[in-house]
Formats: sequence, C-alpha cells, structure tokens
Amino acid sequence: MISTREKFISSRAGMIGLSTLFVIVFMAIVGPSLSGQTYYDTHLALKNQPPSLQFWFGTDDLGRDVFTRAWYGARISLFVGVAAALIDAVVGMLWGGIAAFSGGKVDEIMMRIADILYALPYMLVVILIMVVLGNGIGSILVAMTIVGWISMARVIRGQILQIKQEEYVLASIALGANFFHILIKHLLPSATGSIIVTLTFTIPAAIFVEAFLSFLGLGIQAPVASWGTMVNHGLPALNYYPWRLFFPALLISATMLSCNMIGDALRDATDSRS
Amino acid sequence: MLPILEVKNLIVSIGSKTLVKEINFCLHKGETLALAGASGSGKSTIAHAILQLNPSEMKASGEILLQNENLLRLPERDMQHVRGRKIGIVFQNPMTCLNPTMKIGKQIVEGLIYHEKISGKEARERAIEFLDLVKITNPKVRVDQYPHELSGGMRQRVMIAMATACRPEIVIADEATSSLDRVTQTQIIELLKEIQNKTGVSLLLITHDLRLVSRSCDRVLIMQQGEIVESGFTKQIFESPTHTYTKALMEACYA
Repeated sequence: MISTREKFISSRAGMIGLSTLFVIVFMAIVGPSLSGQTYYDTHLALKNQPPSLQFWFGTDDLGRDVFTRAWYGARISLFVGVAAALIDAVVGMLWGGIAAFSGGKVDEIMMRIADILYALPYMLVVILIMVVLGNGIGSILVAMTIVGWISMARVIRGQILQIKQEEYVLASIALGANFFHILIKHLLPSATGSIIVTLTFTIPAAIFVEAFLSFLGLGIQAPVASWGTMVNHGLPALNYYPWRLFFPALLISATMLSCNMIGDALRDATDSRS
Repeated sequence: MLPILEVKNLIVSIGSKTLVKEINFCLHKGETLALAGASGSGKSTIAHAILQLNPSEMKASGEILLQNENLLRLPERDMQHVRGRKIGIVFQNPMTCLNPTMKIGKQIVEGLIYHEKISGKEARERAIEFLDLVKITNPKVRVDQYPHELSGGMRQRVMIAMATACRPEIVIADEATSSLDRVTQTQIIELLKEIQNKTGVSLLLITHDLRLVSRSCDRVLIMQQGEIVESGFTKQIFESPTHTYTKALMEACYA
C-alpha cells in the first residue's frame, strides 16, 4: 500500500507548488531585510525607478522600494490568508461536526442557518462589515470568516455523516463514550484528509479576497503594504511604470497557483480510490 | 443462582413493524447463555437494545433490569456509565470495529479512560497488560501498531480486551466468532471462557452456530422471527429438541 505521503511526493505538480510556496514564505521572512531599504522610507528624487541594482523591483510613485514592499506585503497577505483559513476551519469543523453527529432537528436547524448566511451576497456582507468595523487586519479577518466557514462546515458535515455509520463509532459508544469523545477521538481525526485539502484551497481564496478588498481600498492602509494595495496603487501607472503592478501581481498569482497545486496533489494523494 | 440481567416483555419495533415480540429471559451470574437463531430473527436487536445502541427510530418497551434498574428508563448520561463498565460487547466484524487511524493500545484503554480517568502513561501499561491477557504475543510491539497490521483473529482478541477492560459483569458476544475460521473461532471462545473462569463474568453469546452453542453454553434460547420458540439447558435441548424450528436449525448445522 502506497502511503499518502509517498503519493504526494511523487506528484510533480504538488512538489513544484510546495517548493514555490516555500520560497515565497522564506522570502516573506527574510526578504524585507535583504535590500537594506524599508517599506515606508520614501526617496522623492528616485520616484518610479525601473528595476536596478539599488532597487531590485524598482520604486513606486513615492520612491519606496517595491522589492521590500512586495515581501513585506507577502507577510501580511500570507498571515491574513492562513489566519482566515484556520479560523474558517475551526468554526467549520465544529459546526459541521456537531450538526452531522447530532443529526435530526439539530442538523436541520444548524445547516439551514448556514444556508441562509451562504445565500447573502458574500462581497456585500464583507464590504458592509468593513464599513462598520473600519479598516485593518482584524476587521478583514472578521469580515472574511463570518461567511467563509460555511463551505468548510459543509465538507466536514458530509464526511462525518459518512464516518458516523462506521462500526468503530458504535463500538466506541458501546464502551461508554459520550458525544465529544466520539467527535474528537474518532470523527474529526478520520476527516483530517478532507480538512487539510479544503484548507489548502481556502488559503489562496482568502489571500485573494484580502488582495481584492485592499484593491478596493477597504483593506490594509498605506504606508503598510499588502499585495492588494500595491496592485491598487500600481494600476494607474500600468502604461508607464509596469513593474509597480507586475511584481505584486506576480506574487499573488504564484502564491495562489502553488497553493492550488498543493491542494490538487493532496486531494489525489488522500483519495483512497485512486 | 442469581439473575444479573432480566429481560421482561421486551418489544422492539420500527414503525409498524415489530422486530422483537415480548421476549422474556434472564442471565445468571457467571453463566454462559446462548441466543441462537437464523439471520434476521432479532438476536442482535436484543443485544443492541440491552445497551441501547439501536437507532432512535427503533422503539423498545418492556423492562431490561440490570441489578433492579430498568435500562430502558435510564437517561443517556447514566447509560454511558453502564456501557463498557457494567456491560461490554464484542461485535461481529473485527475488521470494521477498530478505528483504522488509531493505535490499538489507545483503543483498548478507551473504556478505562472514560470510566476510570487514568493517565496516559498508566493507560499504556494497562494496554500492554490487556494484550498479554488476551494472548497476543509481543504486546510491547503490538500496542503501537495499527489495526491493519493485525490478523482478524488478533483483532477480535483486541476487541475482547476492549470489552473486558473495565471488568464488566456481563459481556455480550454479538456473533463474535462468525467472521472467523473454525480454528480461530475455537480459540476465541476458549479465551472468552478463560476470562469467565477468572472473573466470573456472565456471557451472552449471540450466534447462529449451534455447534458452538453445544460446546460452550450452559443454557440456550432459540429465536425465530422475534420470538423465543424454545429454551432450556443446552444438553436437554440438544438431546430432545421439541420445536420443529430447533430441529431444522440443528439439521442445518450438522448436515
């Protein structure tokens, strides 16, 4: 029997995605201190410089180093992406898990609540929440997770409905296990595969939403950089200074692509049928 | 002998269909009682009703008295204290009754953790002890293995260790040997009898195999379509069966 890990390692796309993501994360940690520039220092005499030895990715309209800003933005984007995905996962796991395992009326009511939230136009809800809570990382996270957990809850519910029919769950109940023992010891661990796969697809989606919100001007505020704000500021200068848009856009695309490649490879690796 | 478990007028039904029709029997301390019958006769439904493991759509009425306490009236929380601690159960299929993602050592002590709140380190030692008790060689290695690394017979031994870990007064073996080969079957029954000799536990053996009944049980109840059609001491029933269904079952077994 080939193990999940071996299957994942033998998948070329998965490994390319993993190494790309590794490089991006590594650069997000060390990148901002490599160039000797800060993300907020302006060089008004050196506005809109093309990439050079001094400014590796060029400078923006205030003479700030795009290289440093891009990797600094990577920290924020990756943090928001991972944090939002984790919050979604925990809330979704508990909601879906409890709904599926309780069954009957509880399941019915909990999933209808999820359906109602899901029916609200996502962007509208997020924008409204951002308007109420104001800008900042905290409110981005709240806004994203308030509706984001639903798909995780649905995946988990489906998995658990299937797993709770297994005889080892009955055997555990016969040993005197209560509701939470079963949920935490048997049901959630058995659903780990699909939880991880869903998580790897949630992270790029969250990164994208953060970039999108920042692009709309609702997200992170200057001088703090995120990929979304950099794209937003770079767009008007696209015809003359394309590097201001190109680098952050490239990083967003590369991150999302590598996350999706990892997700695909993991999904194939955890699928016991293949 | 003292009755430890009394079942009085037990009726189990689902919708308008009655699966078990007014069953009466009792289990004495330290004895081995067989509940025998063909598939679908309601044997397992009774076993599950005793532990209240039947799906909620199934309604049970009557009385199931464990030390004068009616289990059918017990709230779920109190029922959890009965399961595993007072009554243990071994299921039919050892292949599906163990969680494939959990080490067997952890699974054996599950009941102990629920009922006795023991520490992780102690749990491991107890698990090794139990593996040794059910005659699994190399218990120190086995304790860290996953179910797929064990054979069917060994897994059933693990299930027996799980069911008897909290020293219950009653162990129900629900077709516990039916999915095993003849040699392993004998070993498993011998193991159960040995545990019974040591601890004085009462065994309720649910089976369709009358050969097994003749060798290992004190008394036997023959079930047909949700009713007990014949009951009595094993020897007596095997020597002079009165009901036609009992005769048919015996013929099928010894053919």
